[in-house]
Amino acid sequence: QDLLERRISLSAKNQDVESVFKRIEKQANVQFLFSREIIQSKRKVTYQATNEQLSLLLEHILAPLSLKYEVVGQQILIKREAVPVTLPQQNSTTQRSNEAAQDVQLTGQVTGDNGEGLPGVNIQIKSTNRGTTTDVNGNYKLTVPEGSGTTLVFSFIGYGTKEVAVGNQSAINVTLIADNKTLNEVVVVGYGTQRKTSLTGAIASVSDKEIGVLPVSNISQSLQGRAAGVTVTNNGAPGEAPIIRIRGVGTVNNANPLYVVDGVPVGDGSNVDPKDVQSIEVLKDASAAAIYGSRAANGVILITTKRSNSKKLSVTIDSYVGVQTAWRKLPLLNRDQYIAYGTDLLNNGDIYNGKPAGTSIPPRWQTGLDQPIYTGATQTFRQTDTDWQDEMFRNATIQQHRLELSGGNDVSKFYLSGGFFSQDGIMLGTDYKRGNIRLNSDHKLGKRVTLGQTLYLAYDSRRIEQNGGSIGTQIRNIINTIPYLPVYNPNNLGGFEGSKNVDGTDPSNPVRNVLLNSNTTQSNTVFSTFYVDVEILTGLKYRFQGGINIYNSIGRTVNPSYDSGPGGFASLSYASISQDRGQSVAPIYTNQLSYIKDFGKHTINATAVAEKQTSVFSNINLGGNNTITNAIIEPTNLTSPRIGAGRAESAILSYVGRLNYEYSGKYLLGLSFRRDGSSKYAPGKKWGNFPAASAGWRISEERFMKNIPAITELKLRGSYGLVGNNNIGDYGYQATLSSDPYYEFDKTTSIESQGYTIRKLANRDLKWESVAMTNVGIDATLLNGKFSVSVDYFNNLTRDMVLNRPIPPSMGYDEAPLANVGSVQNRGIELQAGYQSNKGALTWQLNGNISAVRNKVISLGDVGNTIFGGDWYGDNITKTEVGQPIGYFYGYKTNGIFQNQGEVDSWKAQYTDVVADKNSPLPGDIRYTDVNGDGKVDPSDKVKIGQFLPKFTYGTNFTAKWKGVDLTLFIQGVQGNQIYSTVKYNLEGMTRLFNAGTAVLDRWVREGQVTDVPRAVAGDPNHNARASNRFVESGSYIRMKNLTVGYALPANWLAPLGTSFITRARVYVSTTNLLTITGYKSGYDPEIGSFGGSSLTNGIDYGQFPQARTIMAGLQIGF
Amino acid sequence: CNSNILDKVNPTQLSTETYFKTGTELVTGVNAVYAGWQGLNLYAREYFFVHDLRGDDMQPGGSQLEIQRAQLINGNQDASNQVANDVWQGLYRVIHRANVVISFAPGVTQGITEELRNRVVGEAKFHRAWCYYELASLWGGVPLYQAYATSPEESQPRATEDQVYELVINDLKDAVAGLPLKSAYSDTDIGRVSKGAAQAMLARVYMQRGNYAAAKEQLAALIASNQYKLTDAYADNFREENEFNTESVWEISFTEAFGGLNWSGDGNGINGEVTIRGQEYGPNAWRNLIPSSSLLAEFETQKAGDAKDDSRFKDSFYQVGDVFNNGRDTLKDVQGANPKISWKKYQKIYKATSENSQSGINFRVIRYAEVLLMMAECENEVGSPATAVSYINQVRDRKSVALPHYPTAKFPASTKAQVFDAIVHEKRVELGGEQIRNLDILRWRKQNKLAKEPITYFQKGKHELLPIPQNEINNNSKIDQKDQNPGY
Repeated sequence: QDLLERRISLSAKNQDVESVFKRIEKQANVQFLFSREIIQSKRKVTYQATNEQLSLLLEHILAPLSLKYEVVGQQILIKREAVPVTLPQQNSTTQRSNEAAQDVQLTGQVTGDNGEGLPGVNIQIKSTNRGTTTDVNGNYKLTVPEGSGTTLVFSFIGYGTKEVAVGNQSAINVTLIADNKTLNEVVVVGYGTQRKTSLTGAIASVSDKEIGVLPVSNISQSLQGRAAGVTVTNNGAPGEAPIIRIRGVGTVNNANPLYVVDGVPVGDGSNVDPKDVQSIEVLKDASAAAIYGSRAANGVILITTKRSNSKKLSVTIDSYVGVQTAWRKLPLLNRDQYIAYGTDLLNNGDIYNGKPAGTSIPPRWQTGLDQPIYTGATQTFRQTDTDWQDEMFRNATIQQHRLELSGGNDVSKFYLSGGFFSQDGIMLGTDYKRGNIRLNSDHKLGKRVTLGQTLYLAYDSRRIEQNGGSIGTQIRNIINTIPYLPVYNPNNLGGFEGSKNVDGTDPSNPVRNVLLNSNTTQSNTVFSTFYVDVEILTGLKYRFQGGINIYNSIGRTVNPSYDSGPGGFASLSYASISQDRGQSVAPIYTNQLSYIKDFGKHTINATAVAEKQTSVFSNINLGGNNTITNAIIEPTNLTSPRIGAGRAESAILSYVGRLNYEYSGKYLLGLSFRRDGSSKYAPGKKWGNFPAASAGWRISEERFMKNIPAITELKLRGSYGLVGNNNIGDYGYQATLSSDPYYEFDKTTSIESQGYTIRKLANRDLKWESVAMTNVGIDATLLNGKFSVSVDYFNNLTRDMVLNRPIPPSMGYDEAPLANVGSVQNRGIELQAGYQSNKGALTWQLNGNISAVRNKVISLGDVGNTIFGGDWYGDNITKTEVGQPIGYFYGYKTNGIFQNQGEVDSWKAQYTDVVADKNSPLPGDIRYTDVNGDGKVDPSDKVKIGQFLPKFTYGTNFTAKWKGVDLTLFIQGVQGNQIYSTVKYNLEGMTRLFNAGTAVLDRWVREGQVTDVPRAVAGDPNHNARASNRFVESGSYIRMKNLTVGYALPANWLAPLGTSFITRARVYVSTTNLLTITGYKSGYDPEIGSFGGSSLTNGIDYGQFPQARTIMAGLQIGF
Repeated sequence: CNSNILDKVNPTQLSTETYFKTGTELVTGVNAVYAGWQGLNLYAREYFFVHDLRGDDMQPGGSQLEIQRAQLINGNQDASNQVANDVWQGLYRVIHRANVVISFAPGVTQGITEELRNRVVGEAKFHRAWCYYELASLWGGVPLYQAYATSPEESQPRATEDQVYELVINDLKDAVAGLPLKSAYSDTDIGRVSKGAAQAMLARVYMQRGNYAAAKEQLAALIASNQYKLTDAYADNFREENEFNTESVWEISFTEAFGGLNWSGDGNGINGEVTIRGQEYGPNAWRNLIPSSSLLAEFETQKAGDAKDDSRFKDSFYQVGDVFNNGRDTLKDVQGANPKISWKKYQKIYKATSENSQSGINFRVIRYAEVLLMMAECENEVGSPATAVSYINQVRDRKSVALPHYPTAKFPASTKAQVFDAIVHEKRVELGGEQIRNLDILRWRKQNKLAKEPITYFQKGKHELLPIPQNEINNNSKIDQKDQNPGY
């Protein structure tokens, strides 16, 4: 009960109860839990205290108000007398007489939507002043007048009010729904928490209910569509983290935000179990993020895991099983269509090469189609028509099972959870599994000391997509491969069929790729923190936190030997096996002093931090070949063994100061400063300073606003500050030598000689990338908290952008240097709004957010003012230049198809196309636009043909509860972006013989044909497949991300199972991606994930792993 | 906190401050130069393509040629052509690595003799010169780096072709002076460039510049050094068992002993010491390029009225019905266009069932046969056609070839022009598919020696040179679009 012994000085003259509580909260660092109805918050208090014990002070203040208090954890619950009280009222006589005559005893429990009993809930008989409050376990007893007319009103601060008709029930259990728009919401900020009303920064908060609803393995995935200004683009492969961008793309460099899990900055939060997470806060502007200084430029994501907040032991089982499917299939040619199309393509190619048509027809088509698909088979090629999409996509299971325990006593509290997640990919050969255990606990040691810890153990294992991040993705192989070939051939080593020289083309068998080869990563994580809080003086607190993140991983690559028979293109004459083991150990030490003090109307909240975080990564990799057998899949018994090892160390030292000042609860001022030193930069450039300032004005607290009842809260805030980005590798400035090159000079024995050279240009001038962030926002809560809205405008200017500065190939380096080049601006508006209704049995909430960002490159230093990206057969698809958004799509513009020789001749009389062959174009070829009008179609006519950044992104979430039924509908979308589809290139590029999409059936074959698909000609002399707007499509989509319907089994159903045992049970059915509306047709999914880790290929569909549609059923049981 | 923890030194990699201090370390520097040639963008793949697609020894084996290769063989490449751009990058990678050696060599003080220093610098200069010679032949005047760049600001503008050749000739002179004879290398160092290689390369360069007298001087010294002689069997020059034979003046080594093809191939890594040429051209593999009709027609046959069939035809090409895999298999069902004839040189199937994406057969860059034919051309140019003919006849005297001496019915070889015709003929059949022909065409075209333009798409004022790669123009602040080669 130490908190009751804290000393308070207070001088209140005729002040609202509520505001007196707030002053006490600040001084004593406690939190009150109360219902406004109970305390009648506008009642006035007059009291004078100097250094008085909190317990005494509370008794003195509460007694005249007929209130009591109880300590629950770190919170103080304000409640009425435990027995039903009756307050004086006009019609009390009748009430009393009724009571005397026909009262019945009513019992029940009030729980929150997490199933835990809610203590201190106000229960009132409607239209009377009779009522009670719940005890520490949420139970209540109340005598009510018998008869059908009685209605109970359940209300509690932080939760929506609920009315229930008593009828003839004798037990009423009620679940209240948390209302996260309430004013007293506490928000996690860096190195502490702050009341939402006192915030001056732009922080988006996402609660556990929203995080936990989707069947995802990664917390970032659960943020999609939840917070304005946070753009999440999923990668479809199981276990792969999504692309997450906060307020646009600030840099060509790594634009990932900083993740801070329970106060510890980590690389990414990807293996934290989302269901262990209490809340996620996204720090978007400088006033919020600058506290993380050099790592905050792309925003900060604070992840707070669950802790116990009640003494009651609560056990929850949470389990779901579902199936995922590909939601779209692309129309591909079947066998006969393929041969007909291929014949046309090859014949036109022959004519182009000056040969008689038919010269290049593959031998198999001429004589081999009626042969058996392999020796011993009865089926012939002509009887085979493999649907490679059906072979590669599957119905894949997804499931998660969890057990959660929490509880404790006044001294110790704990939260313990264990979970298992498993997901198979919808494409063969991919999966992800994770098992994790978490223990979080808090302990009081005497009056002034609190200790606590978190411990997270996770094991995960992932089978990684083959060929991901290379332009020969599995999707490309699926499209390209030949329909008359079977998948399997038992006569071949490995058991798979492959294309042969008689087929005239060489696509890979995608099924062989994924089933024979495997690339898996197993990792173990130990992530633990420990803290000690010492209250040195009232309001002055010292906190030490230590943390360590240990990550071990083993990557295994096994590529067994195989062949495709005589004349087969694909073969491997030995098994290639490798293993890569890595370990990263990153300890952190944080020393923190904080001081909170009220001086009359002035409130000061100051924090000072010194922090050291280091990291050592070590790895060893070994591999080699096994020429004898495929049976050994670990790197042993190898020929030509390879071995390598490495270590990388980094350190960051930080000093942080923050001061928040509040005057009269109206005027807010925040100042913060962080100084970071990092080992990643050259001597003399290691230290950076990151200051921020912010101010807020709670207009609703002004006298002139007090009598506008519709406005509960209205706040104006603004901020400016500097943050940095250190997302660069270690040793970036050091000129190092590479020992990778090898050469054999020896004639007689096989001995390799090692070579040393400088493969990377070093840059000793490397310094921090910084972002100057400006933010202005308004928060409003209207209609007694029913409606809330926040609007923010921001302007972020990235300076000294760090990027792998492209250097001319003539410099001969293999790697470009990191350099500070140029600046980028992101400006935008974010709107977040919510409405909730708690009337009657139906309660519902509607929340929505929308944000728009404009991205513009302001300067690129002296890099020739352009950066190209998105390599595609020697061409670049994206361009980054001053005055334009980062990485826009870049190419030629098409202008229809030549219908006859006359059109060609008259065009050729005016223009030349330097890219086309001298004999091109011919009728059926694409006419490209001479954009600059110089009479030539050449690279200077390549222009902007699209951009990956959407004009706006949005999400809307609707939840409703009616009796036991709950419904969640979450819709999310992006608008105004484009996709460059190399999948479309594979479907209808027609450059050489491969299978293709059915779009080629509409190819131009005769004059007058209305089509945008040119003629088919192998070799593509006119470069009809050149990078052009032909392959650009709208990327807008709107998607029903989640639809969940749940049902809480009524208490009387559970009774036979033992009510005292099972307290609640809910079953639900949930779907993801049930419905997608998009303008994007030439690919599997409009959500285009990342490719090869580059920021310059965003929005290019290389055939990345597509999103799945999931349908699942789940069960939640509480004990 | 102690801010010394911010000073981290990479424990895995050496730094330039501490390395290249000893002779052994300097040798590793030049080893990396050689490794550069093994990159996919040079001898593992694109180097032979860029020459074969540009010359007239080859034609497509069907319609399956990838677009960037189809562009080069049809002459409609643009500045984003990946094959050409890869070769550009590969050559400059070798130049950079050579510059590292040349820059650090003077500062090496420990464990080094002047002899070793001269050899290593000579090796580096040979490679640098060879690269610049390739660059100047293919692209004209190119950016000239004589030291490795230490900051992004040190990019170079296009130098003139003369400036490039000046450096090439000086480097090769230094290499000739500093390098030992082939016989001075032990078996463990036999893969290094020798004095003879430098002399032959310098002769190539002088001939390119039209200075046949100077070229002759180098070739004469080479021949007089008695280091080389023709192998008895022509086919021995393209097989794995006969690497570093007596005819070999300079070759790029490959071996399958260390694993398969590294598709990101930049000549790095302990594996990836293989080339994909076998699979690219193989008759029962991709068959992307096959011998051109004009090359096939060039060979002497009794059918066409010649005295004897040229045995080099069957040593160079596979036809349907030929046996392979040491006589165990017979070739049938080749894919792609007619004629159904494919390359045999450098194909692994002489001893294997099929090609795969790796071959360990060394590329003979300069053979003594070429030296003799270059010598013949120099003699012819400086006015001794008769001496010239004697050198060509040496090539025809090879045991497995044994063709009648010039003059023959078709090649009278009495005047300078007739001798030139004989040299052109002999070079084509002797060195077909060895990336010599394209350089010859470029040279003879420049020196107005071509009787007939051999490239059908050739357009004067454009096709003499390749376009400067677009990514060079985009990223080199000293080069812009107006510096592009004419026609692109």
